[in-house]
Amino acid sequence: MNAPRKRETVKRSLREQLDRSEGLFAETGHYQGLAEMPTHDADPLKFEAFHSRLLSTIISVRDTMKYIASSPAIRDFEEFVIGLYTPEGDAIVLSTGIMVHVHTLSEFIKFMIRNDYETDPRIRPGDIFENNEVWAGGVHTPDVMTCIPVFDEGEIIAWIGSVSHELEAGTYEGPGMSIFSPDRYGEGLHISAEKVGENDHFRKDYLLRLKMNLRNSSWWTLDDKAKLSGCLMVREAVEKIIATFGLDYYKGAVRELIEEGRRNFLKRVKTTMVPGVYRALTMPVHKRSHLRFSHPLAKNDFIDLVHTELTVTREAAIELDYEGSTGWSFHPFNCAPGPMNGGFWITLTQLLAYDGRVNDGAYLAVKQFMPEGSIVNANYAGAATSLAWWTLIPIFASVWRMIGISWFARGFLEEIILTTPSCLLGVTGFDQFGNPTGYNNFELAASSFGARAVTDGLDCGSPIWNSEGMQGDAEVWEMTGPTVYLGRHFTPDHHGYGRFRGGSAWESLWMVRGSRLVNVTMGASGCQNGGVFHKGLFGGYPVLGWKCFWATGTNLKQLIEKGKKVPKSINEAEAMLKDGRLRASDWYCGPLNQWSPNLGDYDLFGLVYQGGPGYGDPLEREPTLIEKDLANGLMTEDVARKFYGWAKVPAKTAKLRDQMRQKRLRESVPAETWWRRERLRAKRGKVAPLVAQAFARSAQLSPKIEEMYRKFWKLDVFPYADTGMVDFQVPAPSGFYYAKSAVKPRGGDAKAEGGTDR
Amino acid sequence: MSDVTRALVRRELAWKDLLQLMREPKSSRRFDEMIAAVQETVAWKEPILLPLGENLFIVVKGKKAIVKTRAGAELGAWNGNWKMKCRVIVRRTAAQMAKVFPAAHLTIDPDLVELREFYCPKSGTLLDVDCVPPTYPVEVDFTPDLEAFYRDWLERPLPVDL
Repeated sequence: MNAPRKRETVKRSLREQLDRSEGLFAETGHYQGLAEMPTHDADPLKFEAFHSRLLSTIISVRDTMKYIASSPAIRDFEEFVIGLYTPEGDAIVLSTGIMVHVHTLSEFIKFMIRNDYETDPRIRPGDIFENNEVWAGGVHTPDVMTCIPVFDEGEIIAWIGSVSHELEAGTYEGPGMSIFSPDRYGEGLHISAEKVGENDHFRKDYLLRLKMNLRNSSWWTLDDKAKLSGCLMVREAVEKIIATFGLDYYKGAVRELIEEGRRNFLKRVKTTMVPGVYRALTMPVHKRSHLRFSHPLAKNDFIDLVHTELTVTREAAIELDYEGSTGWSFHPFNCAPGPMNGGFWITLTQLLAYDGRVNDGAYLAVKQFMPEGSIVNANYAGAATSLAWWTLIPIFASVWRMIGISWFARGFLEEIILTTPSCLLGVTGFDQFGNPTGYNNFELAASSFGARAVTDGLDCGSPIWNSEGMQGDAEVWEMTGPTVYLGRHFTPDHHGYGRFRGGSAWESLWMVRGSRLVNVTMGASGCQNGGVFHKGLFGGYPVLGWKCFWATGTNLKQLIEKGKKVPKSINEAEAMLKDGRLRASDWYCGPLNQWSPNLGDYDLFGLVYQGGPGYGDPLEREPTLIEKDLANGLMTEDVARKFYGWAKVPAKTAKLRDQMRQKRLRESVPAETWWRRERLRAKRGKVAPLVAQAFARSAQLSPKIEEMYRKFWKLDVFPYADTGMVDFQVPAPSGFYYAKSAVKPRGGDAKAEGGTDR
Repeated sequence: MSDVTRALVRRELAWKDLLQLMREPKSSRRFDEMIAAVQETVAWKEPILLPLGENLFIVVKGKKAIVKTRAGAELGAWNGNWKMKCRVIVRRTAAQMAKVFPAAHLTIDPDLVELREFYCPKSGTLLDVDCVPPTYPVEVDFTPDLEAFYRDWLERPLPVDL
């Protein structure tokens, strides 16, 4: 160390440091009580140089890690991230990648601190800790965190953490993410905040555990080594940075970076948003009763209601309140503070904190209120979260939409963007080399966006959870598993209609090749099972169709040998099955999530990657944009005329659109008239059982929706009581610390009550 | 008023100019520029307080703030449920939904989700589309805190009585 040093005389434990940090924030409203920024103010240029050194280190190390990793998810699809943390576990700088984990890594470190890992299992130089445990800040089993402490003369001065998404996690079903597991006991290998290495090496017993509990352990093992290498490279670089700037400067500056991140976040909210209350409902539909095989605990159908209220406060802080949401259940779509923090972070980093300081400062300016026992905060120790994303994606897509409303009100149209559901294929069984396999195909990381306020949603873009996502080469996936692509292309007319349309749906069709024992799982977040992902913006429509496909016992081999037509899309395969050109002993094509029977060579499967919703009235779409879609084969003339009022010639288009608007007025009724007619149905609760049960499940946890309902329909009695589920109590985790949600003080918020006033 | 903001509001900016806007620091002048640019595009005179959508605004009417459509329909108080002053088409069967989405791709279950289209009662312009379970209350998506926005954030008087 070259620079002069002045060490603190009192050595505090990590827990004391964390208590002190949280106490100072609660007391002063500033991170670490930093009302002033002395390090920054003394020499702003030096401060910037310091930040740039840290950030460039992190980003360049991430690029090197790609070449060490093994799985296509890391090497080809950017499903990883690395970051630097304070001793208390607060994020200082993050690389690009899956920004979900800015704060999940933070919670992992705080979990170890709060559970006194300093005493047992002890935290020593060279130790390696790993986690995918939801109760320790994780999101789901495939997101594996690797973390190392950084020491200076016996003192922990930093943590470095990295997360990768594993394609295989030892789930009962096979792929990294389970669609059908009823509880955590089927969602694969849990690493519950464990010490897995010493002296900068993974322990042999840990590597053996991976080998014996995963179908294809080489992905996880080599990804672990990539993450460890990245952490070690950052450690070395941080030591050099400290040698240049001095330890005291480092300690002061990193704290100020976080406080600056907090202040910048508030400033950005105040510059671009409007205070007030924003509201949304998401309603993912889940069905399992149609499956030929599923766990008895999970053999039911249900709808989850998630009522989301986003408040931008007078002070420019953001609060998200999920009061009114339905409860957790025996499925892998449950959330907890870890997954919800992840969902919030992909929102913050892509929409509000994408420049300047991406660190935990922004987290200090936001709050989430997650009712205990609800789908967003499961309180059963055995709850599965393997596909928490099936709840997170629609929720935070709605948050993106709500932020878009705010940006619109301030005039920042160029920023507004709607996002898209994720549609998932899992493959399990034996691969083309005869080895056991299980993986999710991550071409889903190229989902088409929802519409924007200034342009159409990007066709084949990226999902909400990874802005760097991409489709990747078909050949990579053909090497990964026993499949070949028969087709991968856009589906004409399939997008969210609007003045600016959502990105176009695309679909892939695969044929099994090189295996007699392989099965597939298929689902989609929010849009599966006849549900809708979420609404569009300002008159834009949601997308109303998703489907998947499998066929077994096909005559495809004969078709190929005879040089006959082979289907290239699932829509084409469905048509050929219906008209007899393609034969199969059994097949399915539709919107219900699927677990196929065992498939073999020449069997088929595929799914639609649905795009996102539209923006604005479709009748306001510029004819030139329609003509571009027609030329690109993304829209047919029939749809252009029927839904967009396009009539080839501008004058005719204007006339047709006028006629369509008049028709709307004729066919519509005043909303009050509809209300009077509908009220009787609302009073009797004459809706499908799944809908009635969803309302009842919401009321079981909170009076929020029930009160809204009775107030809106002017009813004394809420007609829904049967939840359709067994009512029993389950134990929450005990015996260790885990992060819990803040609890919102209720009552007295008149603005929040006004959303349904008539 | 900025020509760029006017062009943005009218969707006349080229992609490279939009990219430039995305990359630039956000201007504190944008709100006033946008209000002026939008005001140019409506036929009525009431000053716009806050846009709620492409064709929906909170405007000053006397000393009150009300919701008004681009075509001039007045939809009640600024913090009320403007959707209930609209005309509405509720689609609750596959056949009804096939009028807004091609039947070939339609897989939505109308027993579980209904579409509610809210139209301007004057022009028939589509203002919003909700997709909710049947009988779910009609809820507005945004109730601004006008007082905090004008007085605390913009630091200017709010020209209406709330």
